[in-house]
Amino acid sequence: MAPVIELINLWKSYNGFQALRGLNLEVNSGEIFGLLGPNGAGKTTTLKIIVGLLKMDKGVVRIKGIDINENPYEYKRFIGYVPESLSLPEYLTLEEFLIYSGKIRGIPRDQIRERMNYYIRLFELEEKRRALLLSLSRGMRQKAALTSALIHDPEILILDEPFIGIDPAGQRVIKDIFTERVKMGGSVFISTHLLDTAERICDRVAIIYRGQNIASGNIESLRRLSKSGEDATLEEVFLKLTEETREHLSREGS
Amino acid sequence: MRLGMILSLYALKVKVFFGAIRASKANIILLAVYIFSFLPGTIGLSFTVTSALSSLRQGGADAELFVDILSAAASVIIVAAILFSLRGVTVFEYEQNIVFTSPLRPSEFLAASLLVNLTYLLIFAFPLFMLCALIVSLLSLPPPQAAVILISSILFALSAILLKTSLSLVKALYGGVWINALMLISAFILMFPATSIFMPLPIKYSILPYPSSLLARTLIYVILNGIPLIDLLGLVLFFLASLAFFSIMSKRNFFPFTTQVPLVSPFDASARTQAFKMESNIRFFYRMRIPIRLNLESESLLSFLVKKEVARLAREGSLFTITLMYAVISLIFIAGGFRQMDGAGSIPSPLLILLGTYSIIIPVMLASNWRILEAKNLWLPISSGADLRLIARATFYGFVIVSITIPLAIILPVSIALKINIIQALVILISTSLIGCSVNLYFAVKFLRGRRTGSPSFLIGWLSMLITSLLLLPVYILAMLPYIFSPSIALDIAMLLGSSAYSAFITKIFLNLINSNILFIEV
Repeated sequence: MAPVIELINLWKSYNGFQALRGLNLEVNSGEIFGLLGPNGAGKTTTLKIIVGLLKMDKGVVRIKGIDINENPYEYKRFIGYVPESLSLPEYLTLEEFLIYSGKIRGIPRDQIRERMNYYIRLFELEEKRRALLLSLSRGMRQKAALTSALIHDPEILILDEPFIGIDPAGQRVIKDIFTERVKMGGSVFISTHLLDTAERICDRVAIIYRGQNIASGNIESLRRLSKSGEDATLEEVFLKLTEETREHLSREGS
Repeated sequence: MRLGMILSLYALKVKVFFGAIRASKANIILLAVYIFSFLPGTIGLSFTVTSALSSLRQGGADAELFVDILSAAASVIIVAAILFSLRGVTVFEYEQNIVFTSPLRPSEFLAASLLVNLTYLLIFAFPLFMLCALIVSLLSLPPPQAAVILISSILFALSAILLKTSLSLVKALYGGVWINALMLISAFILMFPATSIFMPLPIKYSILPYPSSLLARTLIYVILNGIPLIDLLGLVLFFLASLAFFSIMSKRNFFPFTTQVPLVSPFDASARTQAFKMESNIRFFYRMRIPIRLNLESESLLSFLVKKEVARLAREGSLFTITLMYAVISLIFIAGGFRQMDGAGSIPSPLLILLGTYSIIIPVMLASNWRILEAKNLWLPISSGADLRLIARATFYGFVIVSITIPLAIILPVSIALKINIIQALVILISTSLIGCSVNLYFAVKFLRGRRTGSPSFLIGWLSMLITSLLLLPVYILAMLPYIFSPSIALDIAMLLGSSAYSAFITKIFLNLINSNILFIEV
């Protein structure tokens, strides 16, 4: 499988804090890839660099082979993004927001209408169509943002903590969407703290710690790498690997 | 009371209030610019007041009238203290959640709050202190008299703060209709003698033992080289009474009776707090069904984005604020008896002066709201690959549409009815809108690009307003031409063309600067 997202030696710092230190990562087509790591590991920074919200200090990011430094706009038609801290134009209604999302991506109006109606029905937001985003619950806002990310039918979905605030039924719908898109050859790249969810839905994961990729692969390969038992959960593997790295780094530091 | 605890809380409260100003040294410079920008006005005012007081000293004016006017002004301070205390004890979220759940005593909290209030007073009343110092020095008052003025003013200010705190406690602890009624009646009694300034009434401040009268008599008689011992003693007694009232009230546990309010600070740059304040606006104005709806039928992306911008301005209340402001300007102008002054005479029409002064505020408000509330939503166009330059252009057009059409719709009928030169009003409105919106939007983008998200919005607004004013000077000079030369249609056309060309030139420069900066914004 050809990688659709390639991160090569990615560096980023702000306000004196080194967020990424030579991060390397690959996400293939047709997979759900989970980015895991403790707080401050650089997960959100990585996602923001990929979608163009932050500029990298050094490194290469390729989306479907397009170098985003050389061509910072073209690749964005392949991606749909939902941020973690969900800031939405509260003064718009749900329908207006989705029209806006489609319009700025240059989607023909018929397609906007069709996809908007489809996802509004799927997420059971029909009654909220003309409600201000301001009046929607956290879960509904998350669904609205996800619909906005899907309005142009992107090949790659990039989602920062997509399950926060969503009820179990909504989570099931989202997981089904992921599975369906992956079956069609698309890719889903998520950052999450929910390790049990990641274990269930992700084909592969990467664990990053202090801006570096300390382990990546499927759950079996991570178990082997961490020398955990065959029935070790992703949470146990994660804690073991991050703890070992922390000790290793503090030994190096001393 | 534990002094260490009080000082720790004092430091916390000051840090929270000044919050973002500590984010960078640039903010300190901006604050200094803000404070010193009052200097020219303060110096001008000090000369006017000194001249009036000199005339009083030479027996050319009525001392009682001066006492009455000064008492009325001082009464406003006491009345404001009473009216503000009607809200009870208001605290911020962090105070309720963090401070009140610690082993801090109510009296310690109040002591820290008093210190904080004094700090705010020192900073925000700085131009007033400067004015007093200038007047004292221009009147060449000897040091003992200057000291009496200083001491009596401080005693009065302290008493007002103590009174406000104590009354807030009374309201919070025993709040009821009768407390409200008592406070409102007191406020009325305190303000009523002010009517004697405008109409002959036997009740005057100068013959009453009000705290404001005591202060006014002390100040005026010191300036007249008198020794107002009784009045000064009265002020001291007022202060001691306020202090006693405060010390009695501060022993009560008022923590469970406080009301939580959103943090309001001119230095507040928190988008969360601002958004919180804006939520009720959006709900209210959306219910008003202003007929601007976004749909799929818009012709071009630019026209869609402009429409979205205008919808935002309508729903967040900016449209209403601008309408209200220009309606008030028109009313002041009409009700103030200015209509007798002809715009084509030897002095500019007051309407034009009001327009020239207040139109500058509109772009500041629009750009500031955009920076705080809308810029955080840029994640969507950026991650969608939309051209941010187009977004900026649509934002600018939205600002210009709103800041020109509303004032025109209100001011033009007034100008026509009162036979004021419409061209002059047009010149001022178009230029302030074009130059103001482009300059303010540029500064908003520039600060976002520099990731100075902590910069207080009012300081950024102040800086961009200063630059706008300087850039508008040539326009104002052009608008004054009919007062220098004989008014004619040819002059009007020349004025309109000249100002339009100049405004377009400046706007072009700033739009280019916006375009080259907006692509580097990080969200």
